[in-house]
Amino acid sequence: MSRATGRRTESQSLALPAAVYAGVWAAGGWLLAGASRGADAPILQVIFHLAAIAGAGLFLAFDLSARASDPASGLRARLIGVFRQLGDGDLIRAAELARALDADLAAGVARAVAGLATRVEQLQVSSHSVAGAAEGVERGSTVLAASSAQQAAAAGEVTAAMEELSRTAAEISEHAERQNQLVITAESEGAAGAEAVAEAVEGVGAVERRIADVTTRADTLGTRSREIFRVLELISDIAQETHLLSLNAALEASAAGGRGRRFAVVAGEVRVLAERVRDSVASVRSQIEEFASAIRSTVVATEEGGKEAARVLEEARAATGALGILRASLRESSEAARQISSVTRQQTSATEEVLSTLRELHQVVERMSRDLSQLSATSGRLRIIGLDLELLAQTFRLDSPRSLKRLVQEWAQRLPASPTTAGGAWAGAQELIDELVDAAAFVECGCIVDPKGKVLATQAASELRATTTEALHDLRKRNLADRPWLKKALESSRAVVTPPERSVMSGEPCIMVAVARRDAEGKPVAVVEFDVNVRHWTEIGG
Amino acid sequence: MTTTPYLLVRLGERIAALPAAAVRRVVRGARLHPLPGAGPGLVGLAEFAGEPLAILDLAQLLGLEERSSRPAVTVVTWLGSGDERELVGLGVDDAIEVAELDASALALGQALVGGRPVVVVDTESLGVEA
Repeated sequence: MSRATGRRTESQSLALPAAVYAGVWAAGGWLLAGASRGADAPILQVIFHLAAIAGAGLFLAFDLSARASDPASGLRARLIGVFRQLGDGDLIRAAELARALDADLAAGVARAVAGLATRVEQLQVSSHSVAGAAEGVERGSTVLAASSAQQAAAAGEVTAAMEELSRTAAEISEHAERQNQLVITAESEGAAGAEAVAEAVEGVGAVERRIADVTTRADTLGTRSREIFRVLELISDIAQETHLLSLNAALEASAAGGRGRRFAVVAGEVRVLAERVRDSVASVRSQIEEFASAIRSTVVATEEGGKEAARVLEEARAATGALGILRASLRESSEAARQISSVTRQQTSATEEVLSTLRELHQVVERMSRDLSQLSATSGRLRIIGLDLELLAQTFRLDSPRSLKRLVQEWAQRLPASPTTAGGAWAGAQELIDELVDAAAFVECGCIVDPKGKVLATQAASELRATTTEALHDLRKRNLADRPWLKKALESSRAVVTPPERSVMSGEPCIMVAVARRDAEGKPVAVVEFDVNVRHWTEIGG
Repeated sequence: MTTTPYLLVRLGERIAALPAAAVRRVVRGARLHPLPGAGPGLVGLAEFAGEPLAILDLAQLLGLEERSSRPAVTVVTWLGSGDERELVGLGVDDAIEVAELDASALALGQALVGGRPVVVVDTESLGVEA
């Protein structure tokens, strides 16, 4: 007895400080949770609640372990049962077992359980909020990241376009400069051309003057040749006179008979001389006529040449005028090219500024996009943490509408424990699953399987039925023995919850809640499973 | 062989021969005074040695087609013979030379000078006919 008392005293002396320590822990957590309720950080509330719950659990555990060494072994066994239920998180069962304890203990345990239930319920509510908020943040940040990535791409495109514009402007400037150079060259060539034309005009003028000179000289020659004709006429007359005189002399000589014979010879010689003069005059006359005709042709040709020269002169003057106009327009063109070049250079510098700003903007947007992607990833992790918290909260079974386990266990109880089969089908199973899937908006899909994994009944939420007919049909034919939830539910007397995964139905995160329906001997006859859409559950919870 | 001096004149393309003894003078185309109502052979009147001289167209007198409207040379010749002879001007295109022509050739009223035929003018009978 003394040994027992000693052991008890020893264990009490160990348990008491631990219980006090745990109590302080619980109270601190509780206080912090209460204090942080107003804050905008549900995660903090959750953490403080969890701390309080853990503290309270530890307090109870240490306190009760101190009491458990009571010699009243029945009480001890019942207390151990209560703790076991508490340890498993089944507050309902713990409360039921606590009623069999003596009044003081029962009241204490009931208070502790009620307190825990309240905390857990608050934890569930807060974890729903956390999960919902985290999901909202994730969605928002994903959208933001996507749009900022688009912005970054757009900014990149704009930057590229501006760079192209800048390059084009530089090219334009270069072309304008080259055009300016060309125009300057053309102008100098035009000036040379104008000079050449002026020289040509001068040359043609000289030619015209020469032609006029030639015409004058030809006229003079014509006049001279006419004078020569007159002289020839005179010579011809004299020759004729001489000829007639010689004839008359010959006639006189013949009249003189023999004495006039010598005279006749002289007269004949004179006549021959006059004849030669006449022949010479005729020859000279024909030559002078040829000469005069040549002069006339020359005059005509020279006059033609003069006209041609005048025409050339006129054309050259016109060319001078055209060259002047051309040079003026070249100067204008050069001025325009210079202006284009100058304006384009200004534009290029402005474009460079815009470009540098755009590059900075692009960098900022890209950084923002990266940050947003990080934020998205962080909020994704936060969401997972929120879901984990929610799951953790759901491991408690309490008398609360927020307890999925309780809900699902209640639903499973509606399945008849001893099945009546009709044509191989479980009577009432399909009707039950239809009703439950329709009744709970957060349920995406539900199914009832036998302990071997054979699907007895299945149904999808009404809004998913249209798109999942084939998937459901496929599911009915499959064996689900390898599903983790089936194994866990068959092993556990309570509802089990699996971590969230992506639903094949909607693509959204779902948690699987499963519970085994057991007959009177506790042997499982079927497992009821629901895919709970976390988002919908969170929305309803919120 | 006896020869007689003749004055050769040109009438267009033809050559005529006038007996040098009948020819008194050869002058350049004299200043003509046309006579109204004159016959075809009479070209007009001219002044010679202070006296009027009738100018006849020799080509027309010989019945040749060729005639020059204005003879360049006038041959002042005696036409006819003895007391009935008279001094006239015969218009010709040109006077060529005084040549000695063969008497036997002259008998035929035609002669050759330098291979060309020559119309021999009988001034004595021409004057009678006129």
